[in-house]
Amino acid sequence: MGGIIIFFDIMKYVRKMIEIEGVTFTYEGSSKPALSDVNLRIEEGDFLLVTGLSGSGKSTLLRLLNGLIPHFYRGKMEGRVLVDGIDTREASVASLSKKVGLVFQNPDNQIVTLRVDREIAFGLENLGFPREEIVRRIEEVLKKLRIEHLRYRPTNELSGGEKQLVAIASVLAMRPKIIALDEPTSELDPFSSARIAYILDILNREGITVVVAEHKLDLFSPFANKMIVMANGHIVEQGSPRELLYKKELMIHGVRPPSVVKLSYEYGVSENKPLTLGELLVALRGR
Amino acid sequence: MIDPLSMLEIFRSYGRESTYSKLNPVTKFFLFVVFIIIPLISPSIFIQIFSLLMQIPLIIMSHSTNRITRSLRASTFFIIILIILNYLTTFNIIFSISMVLRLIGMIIASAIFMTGTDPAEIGDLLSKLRIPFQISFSFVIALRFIPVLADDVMMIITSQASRGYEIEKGGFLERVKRMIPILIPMIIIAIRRGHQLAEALETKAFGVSDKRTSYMRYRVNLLDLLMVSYGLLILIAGLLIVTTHLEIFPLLQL
Ligand SMILES: Nc1ncnc2c1ncn2[C@@H]1O[C@H](COP(=O)(O)OP(=O)(O)OP(=O)(O)O)[C@@H](O)[C@H]1O
Ligand SMILES: [Mg+2]
Repeated sequence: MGGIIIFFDIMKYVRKMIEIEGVTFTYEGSSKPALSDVNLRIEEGDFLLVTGLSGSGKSTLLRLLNGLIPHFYRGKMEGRVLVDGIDTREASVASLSKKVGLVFQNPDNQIVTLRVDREIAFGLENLGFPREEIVRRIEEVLKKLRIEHLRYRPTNELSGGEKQLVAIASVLAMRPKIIALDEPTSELDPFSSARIAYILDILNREGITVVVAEHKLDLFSPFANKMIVMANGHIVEQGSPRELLYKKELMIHGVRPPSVVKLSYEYGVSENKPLTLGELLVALRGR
Repeated sequence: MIDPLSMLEIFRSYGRESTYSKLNPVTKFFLFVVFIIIPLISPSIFIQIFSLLMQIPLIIMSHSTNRITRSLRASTFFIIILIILNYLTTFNIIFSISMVLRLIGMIIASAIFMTGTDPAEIGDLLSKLRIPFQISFSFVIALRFIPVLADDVMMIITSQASRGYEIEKGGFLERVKRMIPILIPMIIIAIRRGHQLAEALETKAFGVSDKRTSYMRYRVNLLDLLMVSYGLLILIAGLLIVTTHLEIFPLLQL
């Protein structure tokens, strides 16, 4: 009994970064809701992996987080979204941008200036930050993402992976508590994709809450502590990646488990639930 | 005999740093304006020669000597034709030469400015000239997306070609019609890009505050002061030439 009370006491101190409460959203001109009665709680320090088939509502879910829905996308919204205690309907996208940074799928369509340092400065300039602070933050994020060498490069000449890193840098410069990425690696080669996953892990360890919609489960599931599977605008599965990726029902929702999962079934070590090659090897050795 | 590519070499940007390119954009713009105005204040050949000679320091500072000479050499034939055509309509050979020199002077001034100024600097310059940020930013966005959309066009052309579609076939009208399967996907892609761009701008707080700050800072160095004074001197000297030489060389009065 006492244990339960202490547990609830602790729960009060785990900060809820985002609470999505009973959200149903239908885009204007569409008859079917893109999200139906979605409830989700994201806590400070979480690394949440969002997956699901194309059209299942992943992007729509991410657009809720920084107020693009309902401010930029028109439609009918029920329920509410609280970001750090603030109702997104009552805050502007600009003010939310200091709390939630959103990175999109196509790096080309989110880079708006001609040089890397200017790109990182852009949002801060819009918000009216003083120059010295902008310079300080540019140096800080370039260092954090280890792309100091790109500082003065023209954005048109960057590779896709470099562009995506610059897009992440420009979002981080606003020092958000949460960074949400919508299929950030779908246009990237395997090496650049791995680099993005690795960077997100570092950011998460530094205390930033990460939300990422991805199909590359091999790459991202080892870093995530939470995972949701979406289908037809519903959250159909929710749990830790280790738990979910070893659920047989996952295939029904079109989610193909990573190769480590398939291998561990083949070698009969699925009860150990390895997610990385390292864990698989340990499980095989311990057999 | 006419090789348009070498003629246009003058405008080709090498993106190389030079003493000129490091000047404050306002200085560069001022010099550009000076060398556009000077040839226009009078058709006199003195003014045209004066304007060309006074641009030599800028040509050297911007490392464009080779480019300009190559370009002029490639245009020799064209220049002669222009002079002849002009002569046939005016029957005044000095005036004809003067007009062509005026054209060359203005082309050189534009070329120095355009090849020695980063497009982003032109954007900054526009906002410094009190042009609203939304407008100067449209200019930057256009420059940003020209190569992206050019890639899209190439991609569409190659993917249509891989389905056996030939664009370059038939007469003029036929060719225009054959552009449609390129244009339609192009428009759709451009609209989609535009939408995603608007979404990205929204999340970057574009246009929310009228207290927008600027990260870029352009210094005013000693060389800028010198070059602005140089420009002013040339303006004054040009006006003096216009007002005085006419009495000295009445024959050349035009
Ligand atoms: N701007 C929009 N206007 C109208 N309907 C939309 C819009 N964006 C998405 N939808 C619809 O909402 C539903 C969910 O789409 P969403 O883009 O959120 O899915 P997704 O999981 O991100 O898919 P993908 O993996 O293809 O990116 C789909 O049925 C889609 O057609
Ligand atoms: Mg999507």
